[in-house]
Formats: sequence, structure tokens, C-alpha cells
Amino acid sequence: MNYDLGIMKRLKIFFCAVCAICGSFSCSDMLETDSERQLFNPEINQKTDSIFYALGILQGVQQMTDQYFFVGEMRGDLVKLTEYTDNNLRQLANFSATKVNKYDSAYVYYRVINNCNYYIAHCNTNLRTGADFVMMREFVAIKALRAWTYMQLARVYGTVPFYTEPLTEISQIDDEQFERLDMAGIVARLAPDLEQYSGGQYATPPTYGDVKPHDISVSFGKLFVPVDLVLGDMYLETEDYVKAASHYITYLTKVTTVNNTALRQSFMMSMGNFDLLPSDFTSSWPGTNSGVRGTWYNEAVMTTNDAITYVPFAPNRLQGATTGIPYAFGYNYYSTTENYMDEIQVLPSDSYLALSRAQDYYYFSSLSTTTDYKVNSAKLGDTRYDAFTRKDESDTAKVWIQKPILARVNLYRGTTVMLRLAEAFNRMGMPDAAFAILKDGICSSLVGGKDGDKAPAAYLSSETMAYLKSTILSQENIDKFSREINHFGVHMHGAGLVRDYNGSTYQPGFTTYQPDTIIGLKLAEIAKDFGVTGTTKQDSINAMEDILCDEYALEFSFEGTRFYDLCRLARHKNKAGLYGGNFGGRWLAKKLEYKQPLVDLTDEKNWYLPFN
Amino acid sequence: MNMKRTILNFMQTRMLSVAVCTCMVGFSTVCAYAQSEDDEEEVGSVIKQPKRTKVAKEVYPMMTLKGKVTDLATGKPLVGIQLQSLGNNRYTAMTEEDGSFEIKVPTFTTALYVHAPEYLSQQVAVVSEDSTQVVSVKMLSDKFQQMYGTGTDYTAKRTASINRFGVTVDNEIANKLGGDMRSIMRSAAVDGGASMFIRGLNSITADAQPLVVVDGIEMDMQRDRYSLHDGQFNNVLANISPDDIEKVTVLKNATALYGARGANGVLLIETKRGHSMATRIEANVAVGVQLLPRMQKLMDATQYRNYASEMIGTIKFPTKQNNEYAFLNDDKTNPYYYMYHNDTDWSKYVYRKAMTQNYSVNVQGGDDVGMYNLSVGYVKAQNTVKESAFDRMNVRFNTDINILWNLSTKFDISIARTNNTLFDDGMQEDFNSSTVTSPTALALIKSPLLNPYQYNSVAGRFTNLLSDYDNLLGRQNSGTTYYMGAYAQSLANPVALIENGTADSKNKSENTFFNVRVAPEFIINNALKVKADLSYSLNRNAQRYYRPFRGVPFFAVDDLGAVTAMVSSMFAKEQNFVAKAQLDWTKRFGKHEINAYVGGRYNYFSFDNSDLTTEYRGIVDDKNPVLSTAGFPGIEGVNDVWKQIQWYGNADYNFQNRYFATISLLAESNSRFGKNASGLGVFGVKWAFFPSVQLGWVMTNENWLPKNSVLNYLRLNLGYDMSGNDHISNYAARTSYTAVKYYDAAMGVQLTNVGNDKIQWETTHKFNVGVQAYLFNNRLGVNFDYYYHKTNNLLMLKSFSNPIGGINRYWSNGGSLSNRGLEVTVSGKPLVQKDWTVEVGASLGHYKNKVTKLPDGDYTTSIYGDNNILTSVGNPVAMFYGYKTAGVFASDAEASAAGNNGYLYMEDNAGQRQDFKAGDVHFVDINGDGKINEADKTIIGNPNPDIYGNIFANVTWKSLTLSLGFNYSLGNDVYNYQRSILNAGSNFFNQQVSEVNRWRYEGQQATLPRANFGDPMNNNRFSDRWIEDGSYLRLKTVHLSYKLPIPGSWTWLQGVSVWAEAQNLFTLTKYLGNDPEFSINSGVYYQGIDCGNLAQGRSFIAGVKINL
Repeated sequence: MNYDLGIMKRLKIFFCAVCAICGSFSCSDMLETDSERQLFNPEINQKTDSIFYALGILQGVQQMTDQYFFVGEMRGDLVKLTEYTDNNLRQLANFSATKVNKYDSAYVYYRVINNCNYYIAHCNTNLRTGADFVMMREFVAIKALRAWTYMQLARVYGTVPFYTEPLTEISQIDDEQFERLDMAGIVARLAPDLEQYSGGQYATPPTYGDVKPHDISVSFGKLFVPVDLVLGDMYLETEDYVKAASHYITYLTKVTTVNNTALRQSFMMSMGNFDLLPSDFTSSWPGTNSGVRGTWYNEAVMTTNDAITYVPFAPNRLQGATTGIPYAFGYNYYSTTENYMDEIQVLPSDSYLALSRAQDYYYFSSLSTTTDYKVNSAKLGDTRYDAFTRKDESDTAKVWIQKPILARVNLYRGTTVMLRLAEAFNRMGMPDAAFAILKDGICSSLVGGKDGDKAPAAYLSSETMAYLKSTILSQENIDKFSREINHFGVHMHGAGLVRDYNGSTYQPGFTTYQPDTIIGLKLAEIAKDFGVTGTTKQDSINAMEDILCDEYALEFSFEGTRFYDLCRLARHKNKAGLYGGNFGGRWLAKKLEYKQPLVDLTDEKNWYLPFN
Repeated sequence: MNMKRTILNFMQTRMLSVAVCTCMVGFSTVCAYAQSEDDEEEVGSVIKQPKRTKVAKEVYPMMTLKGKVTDLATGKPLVGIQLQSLGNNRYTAMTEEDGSFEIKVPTFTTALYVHAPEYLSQQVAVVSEDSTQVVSVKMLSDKFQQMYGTGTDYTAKRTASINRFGVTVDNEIANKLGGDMRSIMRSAAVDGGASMFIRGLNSITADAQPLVVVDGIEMDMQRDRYSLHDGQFNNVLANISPDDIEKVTVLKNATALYGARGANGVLLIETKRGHSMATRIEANVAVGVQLLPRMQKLMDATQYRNYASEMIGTIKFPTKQNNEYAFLNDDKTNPYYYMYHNDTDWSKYVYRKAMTQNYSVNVQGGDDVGMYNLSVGYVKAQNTVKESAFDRMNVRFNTDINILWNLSTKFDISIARTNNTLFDDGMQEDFNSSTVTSPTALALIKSPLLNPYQYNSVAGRFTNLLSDYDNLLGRQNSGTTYYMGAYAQSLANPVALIENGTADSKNKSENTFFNVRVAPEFIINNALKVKADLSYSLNRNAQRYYRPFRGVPFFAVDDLGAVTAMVSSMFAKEQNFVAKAQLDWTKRFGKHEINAYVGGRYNYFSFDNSDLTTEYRGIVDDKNPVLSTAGFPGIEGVNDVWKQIQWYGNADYNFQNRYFATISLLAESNSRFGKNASGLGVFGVKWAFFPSVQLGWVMTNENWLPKNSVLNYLRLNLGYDMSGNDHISNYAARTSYTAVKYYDAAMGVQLTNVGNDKIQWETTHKFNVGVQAYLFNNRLGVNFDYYYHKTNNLLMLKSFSNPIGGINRYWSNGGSLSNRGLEVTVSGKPLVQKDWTVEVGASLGHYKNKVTKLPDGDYTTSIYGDNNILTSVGNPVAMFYGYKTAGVFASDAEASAAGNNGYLYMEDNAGQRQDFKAGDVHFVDINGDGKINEADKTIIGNPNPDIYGNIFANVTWKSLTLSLGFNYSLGNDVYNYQRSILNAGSNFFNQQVSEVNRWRYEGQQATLPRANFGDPMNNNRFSDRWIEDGSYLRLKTVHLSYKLPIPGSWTWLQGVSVWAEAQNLFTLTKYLGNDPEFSINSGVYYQGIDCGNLAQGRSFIAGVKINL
């Protein structure tokens, strides 16, 4: 009997205990679950963990890059379609893309933005090692990346919903109340905040030390966009040329040391055109290596040496995001057996080929002596095209554009900064300074050396000279551009010896690549195309801008930027108001006329994809 | 608060150990009492009965009923038949020698319950308050199917006892409950099991199959988990031996007490428990053979050679290596002549007759302290694909232990271990993802020109060395193939694939299922008792996949590169802990009887798996394949935890066995529900409520209904209840970051899901009206049910209206659908004699499924096709959606007249116009614009059957019993995906022999289009060419058993039966595929799609059952 009671008593105690335990916790605690594979509302407050969030954002960049690239390239004037061109690309090219187009998804941009917003809202920027705020570089880089992404959205869609807080609830996302901003609105919102980081100690993006995959190395320091370049671009997009130029200059003088060694020999003839060489051509040139061929292609395309920011794609889909870009150009990047395919979807356009072929090639004549140099030119075309294409000997219709074959997309190259700076200079009223960047590059010799002991470039006006001396080539900065090695113009990448310098000596008229000639030719071309003539400085600026536009084509063709460049330049023209209203629109429509677009491209609203 | 959280976390992490400890306590209790069994005195002191109180004085007015019980077959009176007042064993009687009886019952009694061994139990209606009546009872032999229970069920449910022997119980369920639950065997894989649907399709994206409850414990059937092998299933039910199962019950409505898991109905499985104090031993032995399934008729070597040479002419970019195709070179001195000049029927090398052996021993016994049932079983069953086999070892020990007179407990423990050798099965969905590695598919598509063995030109004969993969188009000595994806034409040698893919570390699946359960019951007084149930289950699965290097071609995978062998290893583990407590109350007040209970239940599940894969890029040693980083590594896995709390109450009311009512209500909170889901918010969580009202009226127990032999029993049911479906993606409610790969080894985390904090269960409202009747001395039974189900808040992937979140879609509730239908079961006993009995019956199920609302409008899904499954308002879910065809254009004149102004045309992917010419399929231009595109798609088939069910017949003659079981499905359409590969005419895969009659010349009337490599006109698009009527009637089982006569002196032997069974003897169908019964996936979208998984062949089994 006692035994029974004992058990009864124990049972009672057991039940009481169970009740007590259950009663003391709420059901929400009992139903709480966690996961080892998912994170819920994480705080980004560890010095070492934030890299995972940064790489998550960068994967977002990878995921948006196909769209960025195809919208930028297919809508431009450099591409020709083939019978194999995928319909999505075809619709982009002829401006008939609707919301069902594979490359019309604003969400791929917003994925980057929302992840950035979350990071920005949760990152603890006060963490420090010694005096260094260790999170700041990454924090600034992610802010810059968000601004850059918003800029891409505005380029593609015109006016877009804008928000800066993380959206982590459905009600927030389905909320239609977000303000809609165009490029100017976005710049007005984001640029002031970014200004505080311009040229400062955290303006250089983080490099993450030795994160190095084993297959193909990735330059982890080149995955983010530097804040000054984003600011420069934002101001350039909104026609605030002075501020734009100042940020490019800040970038070149305070953030990075200028080093375009990458492109130093690129003026040399690339492989392929030897048959066409004039008989007086000599490759020997005092003071440089001879016999280096196709360097521009190696340095600007096949390596990341000229890249400031680029998007690398994973070597295969098991290792990260992959891309369809090489495939469109007839190259199966992911095949481990045969890469070049018969079905090429994108070829260079006739107008691009015409432009490229129309370029003169400048070279030392064999008639030169060591004291009397002679530079001749020949209609060999721009050598860059030959450098980056592969042709089928038996089938001339087959041209493989090899720029994308490493499955990388450049967002910024050193050359990008130079040409954007030239674009700003030009619109600031210094077409000569812009021309200098094509012809000579930014170098101390332009203004007569550091101590003014050399002859300055003869084609620069005194105002330009004064501006340069007070800014990029000031006494403080000039050493950064003093090395002879920097002394190369962008046009030299494909046109040979366009500069007026030999060694350290300035020799006016050394080559026939001279502003008067080149701008004069362009003015004549404009007069022919648009029936407008004029000889004012404004006319020259407009013509110089077209020369820059051509240089963008020669340098950045098939790198996914063309349509964005065209739109920006067209807007500059509209803003300038020369040649009557909407000249920019007409100019752009004329460039794309050959594609028989299904919409009226003189109307800016037709430049955008339907927001989807 | 923090403190509390800490304690809670501690508690939660200790939850499982607590469970295990509890079970251990239970176990030790058993041990303690097991030890005490020998000591009778101890037993006496432990189980002390309370002093019996005097039998209470009868408080109700009584009447005495007289009557006679006779045998319906012989008309002879029966002695020893027991009678009692229905539902009350206080009033009992037994028949005399002459079959007469007298029973004293309260005057309000309306029915008697009559039962005896070897006879079917019966309920017999009597007139209340009439002691003058003479009750005549005619008993039927228990050779017939059971009809009445001891109580009254007035919901739509049906029970079947399981008395057969097999590999899994699915087949038996399909045989016996075919009209109540649509069971479709997945394939002929012996452990594959069935897809099951009760009363239509009650969900779209969530699991639409019933909840399975084994001995009161809800199982997670893992239907949404995957297997490493194509076309294979990890069937959780394969862990239970059918021999351990007492009975299965299908609950079609009144499932509110299963809360948010009851919407699709419930399948209750009860395992055997000890019933007899005398020790009973039953041993079963069976062996069987399964014959080859129905095969497709394929082209022979000559036909194939013609076909392939014609195909070469249609290649746009012919192979760059050289144009010397070995199979076209008839020079016998060519070193490849013998390799490419054979006529091989590959099915002979892939299939075999499969043997099965099955053993089990079951021991029952016990005493007044404890009863037990111990069963041990072993089955080894081959599949008809060579080397593919299944075996299982299982042990189950169920006990019922009386600890005190008022405290007892169930203590059950079981473990099953299964082993599977398996390969990919059927045609793969995506031929771009990998080379074909399914032996069943290769047996069909591998060119007959090849030979599985190498030819030795010196010896002048084929050797026993296995051939490597073929290379019909490329250079014979090349190690690589230069064609991507669908253009890859080299196929594996299936014999080498099977041989090199078979080993312990290769293509295997092993499963261990362990369960321990303690269910104590404490009687407080006559009216009250407390019950509890604690259970812990562990389901552990390890799979290994291996694609050999030798005999299997290189394959270039999109965005990856050329791969050779592949190794995958998956390890999955699921733990389930259940704690349940319930208070029961029973009370009788004269004519009124009330049974009620309230209780609570806590359910914890955790499932995690890790799946590691390496796709190799180079040479791999088939003897010792290892996971390594040498190739392309891939990692996948999940880690899901979900929990539920339920509180419930139920009250049954019975008035005079005439009127019945049940009211129940369950409240559930579940970790998958969003914090702001609708529902009552109490204790910090949201609660879903599921009510149920069920009414029953046994009309035959009314006094005004005449009592005669025409109408023995008539009951009407009416019911309404609500239940839910909680099959919400585990983290749908929560905003989360997950790991992503940035580049090679660099990992990142990205915001991948925006949680829907309003996500909630799907709600299914069920309305049911039913009739159950037994007529003509119980020789005819009719059951009819009509139901209407309405499911609201369907779980759907909804698109954001705005792209700004950077995420496209989220899980949401919206949309609704309905199912209405009826079920009829009729059974009759046309022959009731002493030696002969015949019983026949049939069941029929019919449902009409209709989507009534979709949040984002109609949409299509791609399942073995391109946007080919339509879900649209006003139609059943998951309709086949594609193009209608009008034959093949015989001539250019015909083709050029088909369009608006000339040819019909389509736009290819590059936006180029392509005309449908002679020899192309004539797709019907529904909108008449001359262009064949998406706008011309329409509904071309419905996978839902008009009716389905089964038909049975049992004939006995003395000790010999013959049972026939048919099942059928009528009016369901099938998408014959396998045939779309075998009639494609677009590559070098071998084709059905009908391909010989493809269109080949101008003016030819043909049903199959011209051969054209790569199918540039997309003639093989999803169209009514591939839709067939899948109706069938199948003789599923023929079972003959004979009970051997045992001499009375052999007391040690209770009985011996020998039996033989044939399965799938014949099938009537027009379906052109291998087998009209298949199910490639449990999901609703996948119904009626046949990718040619292993078909069921005829099988023959014989066995002996010995009772000791």
C-alpha cells in the first residue's frame, strides 16, 4: 500500500513539475526554431564577418551584370545581329523589348541595393584596430556601390523608386509609396553623403588580403567601385562638369597613384596587319622595347592590369554565378573541350567597322634619323579591333569578339577615368584639354614640366594651361604625372604614335594627329550628317565630344557601356542647346538609325526599358 | 526575460535527451516487470485490485428479449453465440443448444451486438420497450469481410485488415481501399510505394497526400525530400513490414483533430499487439518471382541504320573530326566493323526475372501483467533491373503492461533497417544536365548496332570485356565528345554502367528507422482516466550515387564543362519527438451516453541532410571512387526544425444508439506560421482553430422502421469539419540570409528570402453526407458518400508587385479550390453455403477538382516540358497545356495551304521565321494568325480520372480460398513523356519501331514527322501527340490459399496454410506506355506524367504459414 502511495505521489510530483515547466514559458518560446544554414536578422558587428555580407552583395553584382552588359551593348551602335541572335538580345537591339524580356528585371539591381541597405543599416562602423576604423573602407565602398547601382537603374529605366532603408518585410516591398527619382534626383540624394569620403583615407576600397581561389586568381581589391569615380560619374551624368572633373582628379591624385604602364606599349601595331604596313614603317623607336605586339589587348582585356573595377564570373556554376555574355559572342567559356562555336550571336556593326577602319595609324618612318624624327600616317585602321577579334580564315562572316572570353566585365578601367575626365574638360570649355588626353595623356610635359623648364604643348590655350596648373598638374600633384612612362594618349592605344613628344622633347607638329585637323574633320562630318555649321568654340566642343564618342567606341566596344555613353553624350548636347532643341535626341537617333528601331529615339522617354 | 530564454534554450536542447530518458524509464519499468513475471506472489502484491463494489442496483426499467440465432448458410441453430446490448457489456447473454436466447436489457435498448468466433459480428436492431418481440439473428461465416464494429462510426472512414505478406503495405492498401483512397503505385521498385490521394487534390503547391499516423504517432513522410537517384523514392512506409500491421484505416473526413496536417485525410496504421494470453507463434515463408515488364517495340539494327544515316544528313554543322561513320562502313577489315554491326536487344542485358524471399516470425502472448507481440522479419527482393534489389530486417516489440490495477502502459520499440541497390530510373527530364545513366532508359535508346562486349579481331569473337560508351558520330579513338548537351549522341553501355556501378560504396540507399514509445494510462475512477504518449523516432538515411567512368561517355554540361564520373553522398537524419496528454471522461445516463476527452500534444521534428557531390573531369578509378575536390565539387543540404503545439477537445454523444453527434475542436500553433498570421493570438503565438461536427442517425434502430430481413441496417451521416495543411516552406515566415558562393572558394551571404509574417496554414472545409446500409440478411452492403471540400488560403509563390525588394517571390496564402465527389462501395454475398461462399464487391471513387481563385491569376509550370502544366481558375489544377495537332503535312501543297497566306510558321529563338513544311507536324493555329506560338496553346488533357476504384471477389470452398482483386482508373489522361523521346526522330537515340513510318517523301501520309536532327521546328513540343488515355483495368492479384487439415492429436500445431499469389496477371488498357499505373512524384503538378520508370511485371509468389 505504501508502495502504491509512493508511486501516486511521484506521479503527482511529476505532473506538477511538467505543469510548472510548461506554465513558466510562453508558447512562442516553445515554438522558436533556429537554423544552421540560415541567418535571421543578423547584426554586422564582427570585424571578420562583414566580408561575407560584402561578398553576398558582390554576388548580387555578378547576378546583375549580364543585364547591365547586354542593355548597354545591344542598344548601342556597335553591334550587328545574326541569324542566331537570341530573341531577348534582338529585342533589346531594336528597342522592342517588353517586360517579358529576360534582360528587363529591375529586381537584379534592387537585390544589390537592398543588400547594401541592410549592410549600411546594420554595420558597426565604430569597430577599430588601433586608430583605424576597420569597417570604414568596406562601409564606404558599399555606399559607393549602392550609388553606382542606383545610377545604373536610372540609366536603364529613367525614373525609379528610391529608398535607402533595408526592406525586410513584404509590406515594405509592396508599398507603392516610395518616391520615384530620376538621375538628378538620385544624385541629389546620394552625392552629398558620399562627398564626405571623397579623397579621404577610406576612399580606397578594401582588398581583403589573400582571399584567393585556387583556379583563376581574382584581384579582390578591384571588386568595388571607388567613391570618387562614382561621384565623378554622377556629376557627369547630371552635367555638373566641374564637380565631375574635380572628382576624377581627386581619384587620380589622392586615391590612386597613376600608373598606366599597363598601356604603355599599346600604340604598337597589333598582330594581323603586317601585310598592310607601308614600306617606310619602322618598329624601332628610341627608348622603348621593340617587338612587343598586341600589348593593349593583353593589358586591357586579357589581364586586369588596366581594370579599376571589374566583375569576375565563377569558373562554373557550382562555384558561383555564371554569365551568358561570352556565349552571345560565340564563345563557350564553360566548355572544357571546344570553346569557339559556330553560332555567333553578336558581330561588330558596319558603322563600327567603318569608324575603326577610318582611323589613321601613326608610325615612325624609316626616313627618321636620331635627330630628325619623322612620323607618317597610313589608313590602316585602329589596331584595337584586330587585337580583340578572332577571324575564321575560311568564313569571313565569322568574327569572334574576344573581349568577353575570360568571363569578366570591366566596370571601370584606368582609361575610363581618362576619357570621362576628357569628357568633363571638354564640356567645361576646354576641348584642347580633352584632346590632350587622347593625344598625350595627362603628363607634366603638357604644362612644360614640373619647373616649367620644358616647352608646353602648343595646342593648349593659356586658360586651359592655367586650369591644369591649378588642379591636376599643380605643383603638389605634378610629380605624380612626371614620369615619361605616363606620357601616352588614349588614342595611341590603337593608332600608334599620335603625340608630339620624343623622349623629353616637345616638337610641335611632330605628327599629323593635331586638334585643328581632327576637330576640323569632325566638324565637316557633323555638317554633312546634320546640316549644321559653325566655327564657334561651342561647335568645337560639340565636335570634340563626338571625337570622344568615337574614342569610347574604339576603346570600350563590347564592354557593355556603349548605350549608356551615347545617352549621356546626347543629354550633354541637349543641355548645351546648340543646333536647336533636342539635338542630342536627333544625334542619338541618327547613330542608331541603322538598327531600324521600333520606337522614335529622338524622344528621350524611348531610351528606357519598361520598369519591371 | 533573458534568464528565461537561457533556461528555455537549455530546455530545448535537452528536449531530446529528456525524451530518450523518459523512454529509458519506460524500458526499465518493463524490465522490472519482466523480471517479476516468474514470481507470482510479487505479481499478486503489485497488481492489487480494489475491493469490488457491489453491482449497482438496476435503475432502469428492464425488458427481456427472446430470439434465436441460426446460421444463414445452413439454417441450423447456433449455440454459444454471445449477445449484448450494443455499446454496453453490462447486459449480456449466450445462446442455448437450440440457438435460443433470452437477454435482459433496459427498455430503451434499440440494438444488440451479436458475436462469436468464426462468425461475423453483427448489430441487430430491436424495438425498444417491446418485450414481446422475437429476435431472429442469422449469422454469417467470418470468411466474409467484416461489416459491423462494436460501436457506430458515422464519419467517412474505412478500415481494412492486413493479412497478406509483401514488401510494403502500399500494394495492399491499394487493393483494399482503392475507392476510398486513390493509390497509384510509383513504379515496380519493390519498396517504391504509392502516391496516395484522398478525395481529390486538396492543395496545389503543398503536400496533397494524406497524413500517415502509425500507432498514434504522426509520421513525416519526407515526400518533399529528394533521392540522389532519378525516379527513386525514399518511401518511409517501406520501414514497416506489412506483416506487422493489424489494420489500416482511411479517414476521409472528420480530421479536425489532426489540425493543420489533416486536410488531405489521414491514413491510420495500427501494428499488431498481443491479444491472447496463450502463446501463439506464427511463421511465414514465401518465395516469388517477378517476370519482365511490358517492353516497347523498338527498331532493329537495319531499321536503325536507315534512320541514323538519314539523320546524319540533317545535321547543320556536321562533325568536324571526319565524316567516316563507322556504322556506315561495311568493310569488314575496318577495325570498328564488329563494334558497330550488331543487332542487340539491350533489354535482355538490363532486365532479369527477379526473385523475392520473405520470412517472418510473430510471437504473441503474456499474462495479466503484460501482453506482448514480438515480430521479426526479413525480406530480400530483387527488382527486374539487374543488380537492383531491396532487403529489410525488422524487429518490433509491442507490449501492454499493467503496473497497477489502475495504471498501465504501452511500451513499444521497433527498428527496421533497409538496404537498397538502385540506379537512376526512367527518362530524365533534362538531357542537357547529364549523360543518360538510367539502365531502363538506355535499354530503350541505346543503338542496336552496338554490342555490350568488345570484339577481339585476333580471336575472331566477342570477349567478355565490356565495351566502352559508343561514339556514333565522332572519331572512334577520341577520348572526348565535342557535342554539348542535347547534341551529345554518345550513350553509355548499360551493362558496363550496371557492372561498374554496383558495389557497397556505389549506388546504395540505406535506411534505419527506430521508434520507441511509452503510453501510460491512469484510471482515476469509472468515468475518468488520464493518458499520455511519449514517442521518439529516428529515421536515418544514407545514400550513395556513383556514375562510373568506364562505359559512360564524357558529357559537356552547360556552364560547367566536360565531366566524367560522379560521386554523391547524402546523409539525412530526421528526429521526431511527440508528447501527448489526454483526459478521458465517459458517462452514461440511461438513454444518453457521453464520451469526452481533452488533451494537448507537442510535436517536434528536425530534419537535416548533407549532400556532397563531385563531378570528375578526368579519369577515375571505378574500383575505388572517392569524394574529392579533384573535379567539380557541389554541396547541398538543409537543416529544418519545426514544432507544433495542439490543444484539443472532443465530445461524442449517443442517444439510444439512434442519434449520434460528435463535436470537436482543436487549436494549433506551429513554428511555420507567421507571427502575424490570422488566428487568435494567445501566449505570444497565433492559433489556428479546427472545429468539427459530425452527426449520425441509425434509422434501423428507430421503432417505426419494421425489423425484417430486407433492411438490416441503415445509417445516415452528415458532417462538417475543418482541417489544415501546414506544409509551408520551413522558413517562409522569416526574412533570412543564406550562404552563396561568390567565386570558387569565396563564400558570401545574401538576403535570399523576405519572410511573410502573415503566412498561415491552408484551410480545408469538408462537408460530407453518407449512407450505410446492409440488406437481405446482410448479404448486400452499400455505402455511399457525397462530399464537398473547399480549400482556402492556398499556399502560393506570389510575385511582388514591385521589383524593389531585390527578390521576386514569396510564399503567401491566396487562392482556393474545391473538390466535390462521391464514393460508392457495394458488396454482395451471392453464395452463402456451408462449403461454398462467394463474395463480390466493387468500390468507385469520383471527384471533380476546380480551382476557384488564384492570387496572381492563371499560370503555367514546366514539368517535363515547357510551361506545359496549367493552373487556371475554373479548371482542375495541373491540366496538360499545349498544342493541338492535326497530323503531319503530307505534301508541300498541304503545308503551304495551312497558314493564312502560305505556310504556317513559327519564330525561332533568334526571332527568325521558320515555315512548317511537308513532313512537319501540323499544329493547330487556334487564334488563326498564321503563326504558331504560345497563343495557340490550349488545354489538351486532364490527368484526373473520371472514376477509380477496385473490384474484388472471394470464393471459398471448405478450406480453400480464392481471392481476386482488380483495380481500375477510367478517364485519366497521361502525358507519355517516354514516348516523346522514343518518337522524337531528332537524334541518334533508338526509336520505337513506328518511327520507320515517319514522313520521308512528298505526298506520304504519315503520323510521325520527318527525321530532323535537333528538331529545329520543335515538332516534339508538348502537344496532344503525347497525350493518351490512361484508363485501365488491372487484375492486380489472384490469391489462392488452402488450410491444411491438422490431425486433432497434433496439439503443438495450430494450423498450416499454403498459398500462392499472382500479381498483375493482365491489364486492359489502350495506353501505349509500359504501364498505365505509375507516379513519378508526389506533387500535384506531376500527376499523369509518365517518364517510363520501371514498369510492373507479372509476379508469382507462393508461401506457407505455420501457426504454433
